Amino acid sequence: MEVSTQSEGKPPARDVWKASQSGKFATLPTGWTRFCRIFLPYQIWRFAMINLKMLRIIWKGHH
Amino acid sequence: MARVVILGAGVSGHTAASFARRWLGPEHSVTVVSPKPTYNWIPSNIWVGIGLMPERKVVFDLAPIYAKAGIEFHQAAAVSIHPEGRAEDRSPFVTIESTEAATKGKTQDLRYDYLINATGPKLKFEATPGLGPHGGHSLSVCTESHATEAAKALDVCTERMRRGERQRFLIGTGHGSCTCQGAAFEYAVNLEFELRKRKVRDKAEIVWISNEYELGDFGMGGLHLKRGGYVTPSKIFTESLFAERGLEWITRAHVQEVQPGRAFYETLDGGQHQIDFDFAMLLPPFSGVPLKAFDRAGEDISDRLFAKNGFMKVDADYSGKPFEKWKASDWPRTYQSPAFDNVYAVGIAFAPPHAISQPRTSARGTSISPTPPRTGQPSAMIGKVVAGTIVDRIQGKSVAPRAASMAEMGAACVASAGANPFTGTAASMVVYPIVPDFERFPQTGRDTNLTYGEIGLAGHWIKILLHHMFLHKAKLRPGWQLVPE
Repeated sequence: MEVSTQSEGKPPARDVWKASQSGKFATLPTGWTRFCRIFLPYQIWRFAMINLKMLRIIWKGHH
Repeated sequence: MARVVILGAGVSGHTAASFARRWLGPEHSVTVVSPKPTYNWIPSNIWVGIGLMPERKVVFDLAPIYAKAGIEFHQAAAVSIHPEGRAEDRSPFVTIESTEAATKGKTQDLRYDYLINATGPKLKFEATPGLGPHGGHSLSVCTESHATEAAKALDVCTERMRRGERQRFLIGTGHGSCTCQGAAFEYAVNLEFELRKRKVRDKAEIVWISNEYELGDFGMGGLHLKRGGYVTPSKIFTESLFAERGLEWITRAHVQEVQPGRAFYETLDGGQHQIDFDFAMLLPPFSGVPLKAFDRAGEDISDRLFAKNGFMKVDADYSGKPFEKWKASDWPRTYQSPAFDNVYAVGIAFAPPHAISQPRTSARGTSISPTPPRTGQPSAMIGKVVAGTIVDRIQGKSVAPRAASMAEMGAACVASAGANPFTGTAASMVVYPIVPDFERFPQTGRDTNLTYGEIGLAGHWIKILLHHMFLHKAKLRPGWQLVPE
């Protein structure tokens, strides 16, 4: 069974070729997407937005 | 005076007891029966199982909380329900058996006017030979002690990897009929993050194994998210997450047996396979807890109250219609037993009318498909609604029973994918409704304007926030009732 390899402490190799070799043909995030996932100002904004979305669902469930 | 008895102190039972006590006057009694003396905030067991959180942070003693709130507490297991009472005394009652060290095994009858069955699942490790931490060869995170054991085993593997050995981690479901894939998913991605943190990721191979037809099914038939101009199935979302992190996956699998360091499994195409592992965290299938019911004459009437899998029948359509014919309206709304109108079942204890994921059978005749999840947010909401209905009845209000159909409510789920305040991430998912309604939403069964998911650091912060908020709520601290379910 194939598995991505990596150097110590770094994220595993992320390339489309390796993903496709295992026959999964998975969509992989771009560098920009990965950056945005942990970019603090953007994530503070997302924190507020996700909470609002969740509150909306909770409100719908109670009414 | 009315007596409300709640069997179980998990998310749904504890919520029902807390609200019933809050809404009822002191002339009425609320009693909780639970075989364990503690409450466990199960979603955070994932972090205990990775070694990021000690067990004591996810459990607390129930007795002092209930004493303060005015809830009677019995540390005992429910043995039988007697909804018609006895010939000489027609008051319904439950028989419980103490699990306290001092009185272990002693039985007692508790009379009730209203009964809520919130007993949760029986962890059926025995369904797969060799599965589970009790005499088996795999680990679990279903309870806080299981999670602690998993964390210790992870430390052993980490030491081996530091010495240069390669280790294979097998994570997923340990039987073809499992549910709760979400918990195993969280464990797999958290494990990967933690191994990177411990600087041994390059020595680890992480393999996901599950009974899902496709990744991202989660027992809900998957879900569809609006992303980049497309309505994208959760399969794409989940595969991406796994591929990015270098996780391999095996789906459509029924684990047949676990031996020391080796799992045998069958796939939907009838294939027989085996995989070696150094560490296996495989969740068990669930059934209802072994609880019997007897009529006034002492005859066994368990089949009137319970489905074959041991879960309690409620106001759902159990006619067994073909999968293609089921409707959202088949799902229960009030959780009242059709046999006895003062008996309810909440959380995992109620019998779902049908699978949400397409049932599938292997070429060898083995059923390999996830069963519906009924944990977390919906469990708490159902517990609260049933408590409200009972309070309305006790107070003599002539109002319709309160309703909480899983086909009419949404759920918010945050699956941790790495615990660090600056570099961690979590998948935040919102799904509406939980049970697809193809009459209202013909294309995907769900409202794609409300069903939503994204991965990011914000999700990790929300996960931390939820951990503290829900423990605050469960401990009935000031303002607990303001924390939404």
